[in-house]
Amino acid sequence: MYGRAMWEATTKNTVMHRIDSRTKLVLLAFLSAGAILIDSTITLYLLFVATLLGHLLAVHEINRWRLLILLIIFNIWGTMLSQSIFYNAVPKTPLFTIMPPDFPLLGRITGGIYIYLEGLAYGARQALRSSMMLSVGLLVCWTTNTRDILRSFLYWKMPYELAFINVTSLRFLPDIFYEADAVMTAQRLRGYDPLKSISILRVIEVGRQTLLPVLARSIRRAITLALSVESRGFGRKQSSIYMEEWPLREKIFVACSLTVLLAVVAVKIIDWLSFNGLVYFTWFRGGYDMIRVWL
Amino acid sequence: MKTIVTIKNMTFTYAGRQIPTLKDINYTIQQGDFILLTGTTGCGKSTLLKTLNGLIPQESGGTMQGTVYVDGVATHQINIADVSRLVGLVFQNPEDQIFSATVEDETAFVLENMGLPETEIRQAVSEALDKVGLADKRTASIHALSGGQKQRLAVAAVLAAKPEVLALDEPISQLDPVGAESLLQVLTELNRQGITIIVVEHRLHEVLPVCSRITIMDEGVIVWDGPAGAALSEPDIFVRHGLRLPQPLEICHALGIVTVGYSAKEAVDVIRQNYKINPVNSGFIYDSKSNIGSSKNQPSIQVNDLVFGYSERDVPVLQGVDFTAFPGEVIALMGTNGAGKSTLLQHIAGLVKPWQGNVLVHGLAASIKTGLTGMVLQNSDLMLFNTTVAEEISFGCRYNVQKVDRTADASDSLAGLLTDFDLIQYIEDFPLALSRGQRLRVAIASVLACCPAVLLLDEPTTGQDISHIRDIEVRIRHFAQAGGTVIFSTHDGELAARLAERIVVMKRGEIIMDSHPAKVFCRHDILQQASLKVPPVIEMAGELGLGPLLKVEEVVNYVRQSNVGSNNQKYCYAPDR
Repeated sequence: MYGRAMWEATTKNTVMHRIDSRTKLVLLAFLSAGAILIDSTITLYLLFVATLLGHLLAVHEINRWRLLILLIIFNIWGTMLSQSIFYNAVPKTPLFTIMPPDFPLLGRITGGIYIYLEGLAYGARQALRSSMMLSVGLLVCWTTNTRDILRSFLYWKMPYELAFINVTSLRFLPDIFYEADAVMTAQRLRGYDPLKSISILRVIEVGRQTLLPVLARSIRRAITLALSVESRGFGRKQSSIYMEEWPLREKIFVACSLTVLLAVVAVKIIDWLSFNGLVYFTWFRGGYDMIRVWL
Repeated sequence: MKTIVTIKNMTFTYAGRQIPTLKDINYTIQQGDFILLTGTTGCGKSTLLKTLNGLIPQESGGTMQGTVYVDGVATHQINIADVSRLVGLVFQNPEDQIFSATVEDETAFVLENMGLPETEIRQAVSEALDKVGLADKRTASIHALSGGQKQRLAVAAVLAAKPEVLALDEPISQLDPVGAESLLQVLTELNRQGITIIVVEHRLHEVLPVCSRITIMDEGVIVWDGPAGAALSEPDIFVRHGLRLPQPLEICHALGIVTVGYSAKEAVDVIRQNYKINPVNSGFIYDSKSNIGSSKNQPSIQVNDLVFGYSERDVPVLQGVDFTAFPGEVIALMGTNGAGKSTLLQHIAGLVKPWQGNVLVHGLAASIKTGLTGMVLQNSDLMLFNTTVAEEISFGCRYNVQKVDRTADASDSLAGLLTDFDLIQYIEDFPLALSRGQRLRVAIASVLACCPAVLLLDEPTTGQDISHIRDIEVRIRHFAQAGGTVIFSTHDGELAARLAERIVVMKRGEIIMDSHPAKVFCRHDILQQASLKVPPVIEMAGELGLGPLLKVEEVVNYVRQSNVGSNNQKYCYAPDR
C-alpha cells in the first residue's frame, strides 16, 4: 500500500551500484554547483539527460521509473506553469490570456493574468535545474548504501552530528512518506478528508496534524538508530573510519570533473566581468560566444 | 562462576527529569546466565539495559551515580566501541536499527568499525550468520527478510563482535509465535555456547520457559531477583507486579498448587497428583456443528470473492476471500505475517478497492465515506495528531456530521468515553506524551467517538503489558455487547481464545479455517500451516479430559468443582449459538 522499499537503496551489481559512494557524492555536489552556475538550456538539458542515463545504467525496476517520471513531470509542469504566470522581468510576451484585465474584481486587481513566452523559457530552465537535481539525488539514494554515505561524510571529516543528521534524514525519508500516509489514512477513517480542500488554512492545519505524530516517531526512531550504531562501535569516539580504497580511476574522474567545474567557474567570472563592462579580453572573443551558447 | 557485570549503587536520572528512572541499583550478572528482566511499562528495564554497554551515561545526558563494571572495567571509563566487544545490545524494532542494505553488510558493520582485516571480517560474519540461521541469506537484501529474520539479523549484527553478554530489548514483541520461538531457540543455543543473555520482555509466558534467572523491576527498583525455578513457587510476585504468567502457572497458582515447570504437561501432572479429575463424557464436548451466524439475521460484513494485490506482477495478497460477520460478534484474524490480515481489514474499512469481488458493510459497499467502520491502526501512535486528549477524541465528531449528534449529547458522549476509558484525568494532556497503554486507549476512544458499527483493530496488543491487554479486552466486549462487530488481527493465541467467538485463520491470502476457537485450536494441521501455537490452557484442558475449555478460569473452576462434587456441567464450555 505504501511502497516503503521503493525509496530505499537496492543491492544490485550494476555500474552505478559499484561506483564508490564518495565518487557519487562528489558528482552530486558538482552537479549541484553546475545547476547554479549554468544558464544554458541546452547544457542543462544535456546534464539532465546524463543523469537519466545514470538511471538506465542502474537498471531500476519499472516502479522506480514510474516514480521518477511522475516526479519529473510534476516538477517540470509546476515550475513552468508558475514561472510563465508570475514571470516578472521584461520583455514579456503574452501567449495566452487566463484572465482579462476587465474581469470583475480579480482582473482589475491583478491587471490580467497571462502566460508569458519568456516565463515559459525561464521556467523550463528552472525546471531542468530542479529535475536534474531530483534525478541525480534519487540516483544516489537508490544505488548507495546509507551506511556508505555516512562513512563518506566522516571520511571527509564532516562533524559526526552533522553527518548523522544528513544520513538519518535520508534513511528515514521512506518511513516519513509511509507514516504521513498512515496519519492521513487515520484522519480519513475518522471522517476528515485532509486533501479535500487546498485552502491555505486547511493546508497549514493538515500539515501540522500530519507532521506531529510523524516527527514524534522520527525522533524516537533516530534516537534508536543512533544508539544502535553507537553501541556497535560507530561514533564520534571511533578511532578510524572503515572505507574501502577509493579506486584510482574514479579519483582521476573526480579530478577531471573538478577541473571542468573550476574551468566553468573561471569562464563565468570572465563573462560576468565583461557583461558588467569591467574587463573585456579580445583574445577570448570565441570564448564569450561559447559561453552564450553552452553556459 | 565468573561475575561479568557488576552494578554498584547506581542511580540514574534523565536530563530534564526530577525523579530518577533507576534508583540505587545493586546487581550482578554471572557468566552464562540467561536472564529475563521484566516489569510493567516505564519501570526502567530498557534504561538498565543501556547502562550495560555505556550508552548511559556516555550518550544519554542525565546524571548517573554509582558505577557499572563490565568484566571488571567501569563502563564510563572506556568508549562505547570497546564496551561493544563485551556487551552487544539489540533493540526492540529491527526496522529502526538496521543500517545497511544487505545481510552481510549489516553483520560486518561492527567488525569494520573495530578496524579488523577483511579476512577476519568474512570469517566472523559467516560464524554469526550461521549461529542465527541466516547463512543462506548472506547476500540477500534486508527487504527480502521476514520480521523474524530481521530480528535475527539484528542479533547477528552484534553477535559478530563476539560479545560476552547479549542484551536484548523486547526482541520478540513484534514477532509472530513462530518467529518468536525461532529467535528464542537461537538465544538458547547461544547461551549454551557460553554467551550471557539478558532479555527485556513483556511476553514472559514465552521467555520464562527458556531463561535461568528472572529479575523483576518496578518504578526504577529491582523488586525481585532469583532463579527461574523459584518463580514457580512464588507466582504471587508476578501477579503483584502486573505481569503475565504462563497459563500453566496461572492455573496451578489459582488451584493453590506448585508446578515443577512451565509446560502444560508438567502442570497437568501436578494437578492430577493433587486433584481428582472427572473427565467429561464425549457427548459433553463442544458441539461441532457449524455455528457461524446461525442465530443472526442481517450480516454486518459480507466479503465476497475478494481478490487484491499491490502489484500486478506479484501474487495477489488476497485470493478469493469469502467472509461474513454479524452484529455482536468478536472475530480474531490470525496467521503469519504477510498472510493478508491487515489487507483484509483495510478492505473492510474501505481504504482500498478490490481487484475482484466486493465488500459490503451493513449492505453498503465498504467506503470510508459511510462512517460505518472505525479502524485502529497497528501503530496507534500515528492516529494521535491533536494537541490534547479531549481534542483527539472529539476530532471525529466534528467530521461525522451525519452520524454524530454535535450538540449537548455529543458532549455527554465525549465525557462518557473519557470516563469509560479512564482518561478523564488526562483530558488536557498531549496524547503522544502519555504511556503506551494510555496512548492506545486514546486511539480506541477516538475511533469509538465516531460511533462506528464495525470496529477493526490491527494487532492492538503488540508490545502492551498484560494490564493494558485486559483493559482492551473489556472495551472490546462492551462494544460487541452493544451490538457492534469487532474484528481484530493478532498473533496472541491466548487472547484470541479468551476474547473471540470466531477465529479466521489466513494463509497466503486465503482463509483456511473460519470457526470457533475451540475448533480451530483442535486442528493441528491448520495451526501448523498458519504457524500458530495452541494456547497452553487448551492443551491442559485436553490432557485433563475436560474438553475444549478456552479460559484459565474455566479450567480452574472445573477442577475445583469436580473436587467438591457439585454439578460440573455448569462449568463446561457450551457456546450459546
